[in-house]
Amino acid sequence: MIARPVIALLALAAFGQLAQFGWIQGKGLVGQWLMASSWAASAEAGGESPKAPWPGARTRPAARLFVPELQLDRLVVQGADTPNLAWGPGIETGPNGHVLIAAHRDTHFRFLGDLEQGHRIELEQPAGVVRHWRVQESRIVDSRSTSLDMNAPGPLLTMVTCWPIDAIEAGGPLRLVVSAVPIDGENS
Amino acid sequence: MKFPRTRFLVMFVLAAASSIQAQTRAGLQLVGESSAVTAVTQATEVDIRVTGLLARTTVTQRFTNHTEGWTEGRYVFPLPDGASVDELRITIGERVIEGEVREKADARQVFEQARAQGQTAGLVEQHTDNLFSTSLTNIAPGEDIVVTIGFGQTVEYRHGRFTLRFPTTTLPRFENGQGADARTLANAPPAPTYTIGAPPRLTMAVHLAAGFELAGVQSLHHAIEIQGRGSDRIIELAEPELAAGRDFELVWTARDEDRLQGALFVEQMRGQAHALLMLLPPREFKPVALRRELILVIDRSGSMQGEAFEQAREAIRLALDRIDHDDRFNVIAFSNTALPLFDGPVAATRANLDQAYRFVEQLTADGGTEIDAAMGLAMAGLPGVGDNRSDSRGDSRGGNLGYLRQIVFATDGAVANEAQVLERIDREIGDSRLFAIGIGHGVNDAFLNRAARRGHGTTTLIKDPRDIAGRMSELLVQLESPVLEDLQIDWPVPVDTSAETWPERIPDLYAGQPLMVLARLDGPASAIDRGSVRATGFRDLEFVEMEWPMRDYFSATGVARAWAQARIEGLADRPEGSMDAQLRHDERLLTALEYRIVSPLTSLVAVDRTPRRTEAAKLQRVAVAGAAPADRNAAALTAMPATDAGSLEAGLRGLSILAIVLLMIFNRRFNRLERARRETDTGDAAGHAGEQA
Repeated sequence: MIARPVIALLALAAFGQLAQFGWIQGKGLVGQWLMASSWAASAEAGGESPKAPWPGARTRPAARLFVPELQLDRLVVQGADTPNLAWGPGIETGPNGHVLIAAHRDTHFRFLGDLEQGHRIELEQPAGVVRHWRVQESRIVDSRSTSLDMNAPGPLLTMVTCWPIDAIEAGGPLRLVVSAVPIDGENS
Repeated sequence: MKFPRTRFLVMFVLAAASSIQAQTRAGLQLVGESSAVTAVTQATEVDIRVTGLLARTTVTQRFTNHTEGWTEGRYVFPLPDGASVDELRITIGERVIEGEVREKADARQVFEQARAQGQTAGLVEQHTDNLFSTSLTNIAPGEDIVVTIGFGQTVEYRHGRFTLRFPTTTLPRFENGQGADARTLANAPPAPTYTIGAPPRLTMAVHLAAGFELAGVQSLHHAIEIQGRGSDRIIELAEPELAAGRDFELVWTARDEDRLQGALFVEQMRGQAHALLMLLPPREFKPVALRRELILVIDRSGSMQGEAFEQAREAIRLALDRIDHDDRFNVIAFSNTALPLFDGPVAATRANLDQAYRFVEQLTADGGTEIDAAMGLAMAGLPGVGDNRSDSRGDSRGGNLGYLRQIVFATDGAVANEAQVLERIDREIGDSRLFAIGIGHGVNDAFLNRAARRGHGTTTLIKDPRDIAGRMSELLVQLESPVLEDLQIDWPVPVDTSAETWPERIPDLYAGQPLMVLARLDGPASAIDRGSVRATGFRDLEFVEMEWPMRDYFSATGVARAWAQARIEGLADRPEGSMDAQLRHDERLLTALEYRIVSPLTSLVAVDRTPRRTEAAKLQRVAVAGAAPADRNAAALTAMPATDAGSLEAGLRGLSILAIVLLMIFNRRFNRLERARRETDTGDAAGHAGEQA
């Protein structure tokens, strides 16, 4: 006979895990939703830097990522560290124009595996400036042996997420790296 | 019947041998895993776009691997002096691989790694000033591979003629025995030994936007077809099959201008304005009768044998023809040793000149190129001569004691001990001016330019015997007509900053020979558009001042990279001991990396990230564009971000625990029901028993 407390404890654990799932997914959705209004407000105000999307928020939308072929639209936050990534893909720019965007494979970058060479990417700044990129290559790297060179000469757009996209176990070493180059071929 | 057949065989072998020799210059040698095999250069396409004084060249070469195995190869090619390579693209079928600029050793390492891992990769390296190589590896059997290289260069302008050069031949460097500087050869890659196949086909298109009404356009060594009108032309080669083996030279002219003028070109890069000031002197200028001391140096080494030596001899004769009776002169011939005609400069009397003509007539070409001793002799003038031409702003210039000493040396520049010669020029040039005449095709013009730059002079290249009279008279007229001396240029810069100018030492301005000065102004163009560029100097001993307002500049791409290129070269040109070697190295490297150009310190490397020779399953430890191996010791490398929120794991874990919980609950319920049923069963049984009792 299994004791009632054991079941209660297990049920609690199950709900805890599911709540975590819902929390992570929910944060991703709500973050995007809240930032959308802050982004729109800043666009109306003529491109001044966006206000906090919710009171006390540490993140601000920094850019808008748009993939026409996949009908994807994401607001990107400043900084690619873990707290930020919950709300949206994080962006960082190297001194020589190397732009890095990282996001979680299970939320905002679930689509990254669908990007193919030649796909177009649009990156919109708060001021309304849109830069067009074309996917140049996708590859899988091992994060234990490969790291990112933020000083790499730009303009270069690198997008990173975990690989495999639908792995069950979290925290694997592999990363999917998609790099894109500007379409206009501008050099500086 | 036997004799003609033998003769035919001999002829055939000779023809084959010479055709193989002719091909060594322009092929890609592929080396397979087992034995050396070759692939053929199917075609080379050259596309040049000229805007004003700047030219951007794209060279596209298509190679086919005709062998059964995976192959690799190296292709050595010369570029015009001062060219800066900034683009490498490899196209294999649909895939395009872009190259990136890295430190030379680093780039080679990336390339070697890709090579070992079976990835297609390319590498562009600079070996000497104008000798580059492209290496390719892991080309699949039967595969077509297209390599594109892009570089910028400046158009040469002198005596009213604009000249664009594209070399198609390369000159093997002449190495003399002992005491030679082995570095030049050690750095050069071994050239491919042989290639089989049809002659390389060269197609070429030049899009010329001169920026002014053109008077004429002509190619000096190739038949061309010209279209267009006004200031724009499109030029193509008429006979692509016959194009290789001769340097391509395109010359265009504008309507004549007889006054000194300048033009300012600006390009903004990395937030800073880069400026190019071009001074166009009048075609003719007659200054006060300045007395000159002309030292004519002629190279009679073995490499000059034949036509080249005849041209050099003719050049010296033409120079002798123009010597004025109150000038002084000397002639020095050199091969293994320097042979002066007179012990020192002598008056240009009829007798002395006749002796000089006879001396030149008797010279033959033979032996090594020991240029150093001859230069030493040429620069060592008579005591007291030259001391008067000091920096004291012309007060003693042209005085009774002073002669303007001009050293003219005619050579093919095929010397091994370049560094030694350059050091001597630094040490001993004093107030002499050094003018180089480069003779023949594939001349080492990088060395000649360096020597002339250090000697405050210029270089004249004579490729074709037909040009000799024209080019020489241009040079000699130039020598007689210095337009501006002690030139100084002030750049408009934001407060508390300064402009970095190349060349550091601004040479004199001569008739027919323009001057280009490159500067990086510390600030964006918008910050200085109210200022102006100001040039001052002495013309015929009189102070002259000129000004160009910044708002009138022409914007031009290529200025910034031209500046970077000039800086990298200029820093290397600085005499030994004038700056810390490590600092010099770091500055040059940084400039090359920042402006993304191939230099003696940096290379372009392109790696196809798809592993092809090995199994795809194997994890690759190769840097992606913008990513680098983790074990590289650079501070700028950041670890890959954690890109897994763990929601899937949590969700799945939650679901499975939930399933267990549900199972448990179901199990409990089931057990309870079972028990209840059993209890009712036993209760009924007891009841029946009681009734019976």
